[in-house]
Amino acid sequence: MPVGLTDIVQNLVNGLLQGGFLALASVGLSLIYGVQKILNIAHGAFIVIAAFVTIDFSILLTPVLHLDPLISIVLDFGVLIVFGVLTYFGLIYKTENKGFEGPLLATFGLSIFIEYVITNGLIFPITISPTQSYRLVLIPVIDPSYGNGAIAQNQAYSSNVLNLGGITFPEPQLIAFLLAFLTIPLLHLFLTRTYYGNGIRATAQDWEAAEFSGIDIRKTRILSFALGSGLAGIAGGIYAFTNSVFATEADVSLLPLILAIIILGGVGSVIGTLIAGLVVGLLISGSNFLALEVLTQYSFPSDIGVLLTFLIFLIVLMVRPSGFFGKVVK
Amino acid sequence: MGIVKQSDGDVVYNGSSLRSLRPHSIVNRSISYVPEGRRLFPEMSVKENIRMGAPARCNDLKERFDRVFLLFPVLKERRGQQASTLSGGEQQMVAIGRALMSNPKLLLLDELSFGLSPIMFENVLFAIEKIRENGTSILMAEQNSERALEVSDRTYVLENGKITIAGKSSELIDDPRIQTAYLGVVS
Repeated sequence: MPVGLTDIVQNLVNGLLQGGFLALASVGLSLIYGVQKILNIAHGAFIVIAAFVTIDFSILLTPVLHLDPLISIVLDFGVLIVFGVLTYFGLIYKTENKGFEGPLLATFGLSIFIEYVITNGLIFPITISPTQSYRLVLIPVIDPSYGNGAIAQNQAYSSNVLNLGGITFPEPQLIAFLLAFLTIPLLHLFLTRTYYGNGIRATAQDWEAAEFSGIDIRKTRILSFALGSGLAGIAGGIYAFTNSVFATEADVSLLPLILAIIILGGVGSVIGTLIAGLVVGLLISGSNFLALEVLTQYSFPSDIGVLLTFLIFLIVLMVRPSGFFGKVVK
Repeated sequence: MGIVKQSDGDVVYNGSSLRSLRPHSIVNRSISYVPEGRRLFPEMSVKENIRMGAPARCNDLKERFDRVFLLFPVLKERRGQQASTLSGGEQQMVAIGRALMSNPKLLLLDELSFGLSPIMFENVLFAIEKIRENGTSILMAEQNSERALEVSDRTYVLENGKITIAGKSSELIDDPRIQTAYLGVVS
């Protein structure tokens, strides 16, 4: 089948729609890394937790309460803020001033733990006698598909498709994109227009100066970690609307792309991350398109698209080592 | 200011110890600090930098801004400009303005002349004298001993962490020991 203009435009549209999610998935981690110089390895796992919260909500609560699964994104935001604060005090607070490795290892361990709990729950068998045994269920199995991939159910519009002159926009993807596109500018406004937002930026730029200017940097650090985690929550909800989610993604598999976006956008730059997310979305779909339509004819394997994406990423880094919006470090 | 933990001794201000306080609580006790090298937030505007010196909730924010802009009118013109694009003197003004936003009773100035032209240093000193006239005590660590002695009431010379000379500036200004201490030579 010959490649037409419509195919190319459709491909660009798909890339942009996916890029919205990627930007939102990255912006929270970029914020945390910018303020605390902490790399939360469990950020991808946070996204997956939220995705399963939305999936479980859509299966359990939507039919009963007649609430659209979209509402669960608010819940995701709240749940992940709580989760972020717990993680901060449980794993990061004591180690953050003692170097980079402590929080790195602690959150890596957390991501493995989260993956286990989503798949298996936290269930202990208690055997009293050979004939009597109980199961102590602390956390039930969270993944309703038992590892086969789950997506948010009962979406009223899941099969609706907007068609503009031959270019199709699936509605869930479109809603996800709009949500991402609204959230990031809101975050930008918060960071630039409010006292605590500016306090977060000040802490990121010079934490000592922030302290003696009178900012309680303990507060701004907790706030940025909570907010960054909450943003992972929104991203996870969106993810559940458009993709099949696997518990195994709670390991570090989402991180390479997220890190690529953060570096391209410039660490701590919110608008930079948005643009970088869209660019990487375009890159991925463009590379896949190229790989599928052209390169496979020359007997390249079809998954060469991933390789192309990171190749282009490397070239960009060689030209601009600090990303589109980062400062050039001299 | 509570960033470097004290290994020994105590710092007492108005009868209470500052030893175990975190920096922002020290600022709350009416002590402000202008560090050596200014330490502005480079990617924030002049206005945002100055705002960071005031408390989170502040009813008279506008009055505090007005006082800073009255002292340094040039900052009002440049309030939207990014701090890193200012000249050294203007940056020093922003650092002082930021420190004044907490309405300090005591203002600590570290190496005010650092990186400033002599004319700019005079401008900044002039502003400092005005701040003092408004009732704020000023403690400055300064290597320009000549000007420091001229503008100050009392002078302490620190050598290897110990006060070796102390007294009224007007009396010390002609003291040959000062020059010896500063130049590190014995004549």
